[in-house]
Amino acid sequence: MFYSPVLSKNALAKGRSVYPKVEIFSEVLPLCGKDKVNQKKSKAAASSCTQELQSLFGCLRKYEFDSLPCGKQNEAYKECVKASAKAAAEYKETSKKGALGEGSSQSMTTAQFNKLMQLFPQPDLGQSPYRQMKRLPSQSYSDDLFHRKSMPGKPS
Amino acid sequence: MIIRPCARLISTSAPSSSRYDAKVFREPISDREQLRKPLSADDERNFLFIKALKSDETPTFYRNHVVDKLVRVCMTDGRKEMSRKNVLAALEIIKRKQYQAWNKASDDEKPKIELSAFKIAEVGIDNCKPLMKLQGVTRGGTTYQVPFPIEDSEAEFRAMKMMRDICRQKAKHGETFFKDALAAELMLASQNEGATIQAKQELHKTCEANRAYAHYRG
Repeated sequence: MFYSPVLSKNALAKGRSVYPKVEIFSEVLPLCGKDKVNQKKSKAAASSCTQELQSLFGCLRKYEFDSLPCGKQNEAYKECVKASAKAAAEYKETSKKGALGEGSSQSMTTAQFNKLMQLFPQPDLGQSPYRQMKRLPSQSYSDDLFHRKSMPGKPS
Repeated sequence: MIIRPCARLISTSAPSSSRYDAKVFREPISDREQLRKPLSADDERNFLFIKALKSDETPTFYRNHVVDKLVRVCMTDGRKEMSRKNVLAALEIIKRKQYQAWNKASDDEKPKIELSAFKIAEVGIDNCKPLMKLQGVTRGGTTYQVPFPIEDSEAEFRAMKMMRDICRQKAKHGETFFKDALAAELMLASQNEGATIQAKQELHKTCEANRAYAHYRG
């Protein structure tokens, strides 16, 4: 038997057109990024020195929780804590400043990115209701210009 | 009616300013080396008033950080002189015991016996220093006891506090004197034994049990 996807049972179901569906592109939002990124609470990469802590606890368990033989592990843990506290303070400082090309991380912070976008905004981004539904003087209110009659909510 | 002078008044507020006027009072010299040298000509202390020297800052050759801190930690109701008397009495007991042991010991054992009570107190407190502390952190309405890292000075304070609480417990209701309990505890702690060392190990054990909460830190 001759078979075509157009004549399949599914395609011929009630209310379906035999013609292929036509997609019409409509630019609801401009096709470019915004000038601003939402700022999350700036936090340095969380380092709770888990490895050092684990090794310290391992040593403590080995020596029945006496701290004297575990000086080496304790020193390592303390150093790690100190280093991570220092890194966090540095990160906070740079993210507060929003200055470019500073700090240990290679990528920009959100504040730095926002500042850069403020200096060089996206061209032709437009304003917040990007697609204005505007009626020309020749057009009537009663005409369903924007196909909103069947939409729920307030008709424009 | 006889009004007796009150020994101590409870002050609930921190002092807003020093009783010494900053314009006319200067700090005293408490360092022995500096005390021997003459004041320079442009030093303000040549013609201004000097504040009274604090009782634990007197220039002595036996000034010891650990002992001074222990005195402050063991103090009750602001009676620092009393606390110092107790702590120094404990050091004297240690000294006497060590010297007795030294007298009894044979010649080749003698150099091994530590005779300085200050040294024994330092080693004892150092052995009691905990590696971390437990701090309550509330997440989602539940308070978790989270192991936190600890600064060296705070570790020292917590070691002294544990020892002080244990000695107070022993000296309760006049069972022993505080000085005796403190001397015994310091001597044991310098050998890495005793109730304070056990309390430290208990703390470590609890920290280890609560290690899963370590990521709640910060």
